[in-house]
Amino acid sequence: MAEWITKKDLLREAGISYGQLYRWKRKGLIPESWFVRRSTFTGQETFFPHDAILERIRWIQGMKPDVPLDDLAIKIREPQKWSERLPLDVLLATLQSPAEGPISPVSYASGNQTVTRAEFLAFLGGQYLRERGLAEAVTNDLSTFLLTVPVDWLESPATVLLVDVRGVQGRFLIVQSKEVIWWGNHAPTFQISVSELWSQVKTAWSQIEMTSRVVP
Amino acid sequence: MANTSLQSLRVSGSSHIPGGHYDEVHGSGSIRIDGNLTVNRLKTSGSIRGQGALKTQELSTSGSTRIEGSVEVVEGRCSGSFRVDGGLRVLGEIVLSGSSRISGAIAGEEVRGSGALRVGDEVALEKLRWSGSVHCPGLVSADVIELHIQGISEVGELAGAQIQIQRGSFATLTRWLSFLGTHGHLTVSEVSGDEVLLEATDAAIVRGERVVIGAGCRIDRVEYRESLTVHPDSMVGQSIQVD
Repeated sequence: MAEWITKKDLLREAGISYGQLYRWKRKGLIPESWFVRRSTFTGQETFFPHDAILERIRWIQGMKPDVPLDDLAIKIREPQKWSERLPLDVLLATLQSPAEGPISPVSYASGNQTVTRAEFLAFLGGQYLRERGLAEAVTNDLSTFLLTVPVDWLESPATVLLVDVRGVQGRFLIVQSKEVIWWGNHAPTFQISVSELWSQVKTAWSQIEMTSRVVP
Repeated sequence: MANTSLQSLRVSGSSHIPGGHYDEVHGSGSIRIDGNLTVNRLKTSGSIRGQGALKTQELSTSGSTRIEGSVEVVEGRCSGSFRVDGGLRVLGEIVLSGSSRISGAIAGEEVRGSGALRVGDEVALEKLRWSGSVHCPGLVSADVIELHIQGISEVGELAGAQIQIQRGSFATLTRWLSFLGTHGHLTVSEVSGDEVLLEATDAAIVRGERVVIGAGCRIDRVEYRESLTVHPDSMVGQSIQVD
């Protein structure tokens, strides 16, 4: 399989038009760096990385036609964004005083540990319960649970409830609401606003990114 | 974005406006904006110089406008000299007339207008409709590109679904200048589109589904898929129908 494909061959192989190709480029569905201009005997020619672009175009074509291109662009950026890692100790150092959030700055001996956004959220959630004296098993369960929460839930007001049923703590329930009305004997032991934790994750991340952008 | 708690300003003469958030700013005369300005509606006439970025829902300027940062606008109408040292992001539509110079890139939905358009980087829009001259060293990409060329224009690359380059109708002065060889003409290295119609264009390569080479063109090579029509006054070095 050839490593590169010309624009003309790409259109033929993928069955798309110039208009589509450049529309997808404008929307960020096809990275600009994949348009590589080189001199050939017929003049300048645009080449693309063969496998990567064909895979990307098949993915776009496989999506439902009514999904807006902007939404597809977000889906493409997401995996890259969610796999980024930053040092845990640097992230923790950006946290504000306890009055400004549910998590206090902690002296956590993290060494060189790096975390993704989701892992940082899980760490903060676990730390929240740990500071309130809950057993390690429960804090670990919450951390594992938070890793499974979809991003769109984190972006909406979401609350995690730690439910104590028959004296056994460690059952978690997530609701998409800031306020929860509880009725009955088994009131939740703790309520954690996941949205606030998530907001802290994003703030810490953006602070570090802004700082690193200043460095030439 | 409308927020009634935001302050509005009305200034005239020689004035300074501190940057910040405003509901409406109306200014006339010689005005300097210190810092970044976010405003729902900005309406100015005269000489305006913004020393930071500008973000606005509605922009209306006449006279000489220079923004030293980037501009983000939803709807705009600017006449006279409009200069942006950063990039221009158009979330709706902007109409420019006169001399427009964007040092960065233009991105967004729709730009239309007339006069001289100079872009330092590249253009990525849904629609570009321009009458006059266009200079852009990079890629000009839009779903619809309609250029009525008056004067000498130079573009790195044109790409989109519908590309239509036509020689603009001349005003009296340019009609006289046309005898001196400075009439409307576009030079571009590559054109890639689904529907391509070119007049008065020099290009190294033109690629398209349906291609019409109108009067006054010199094209080194045309690659077309469905159809090609060439005006007898135009020169095409090589034409190839591709599968």
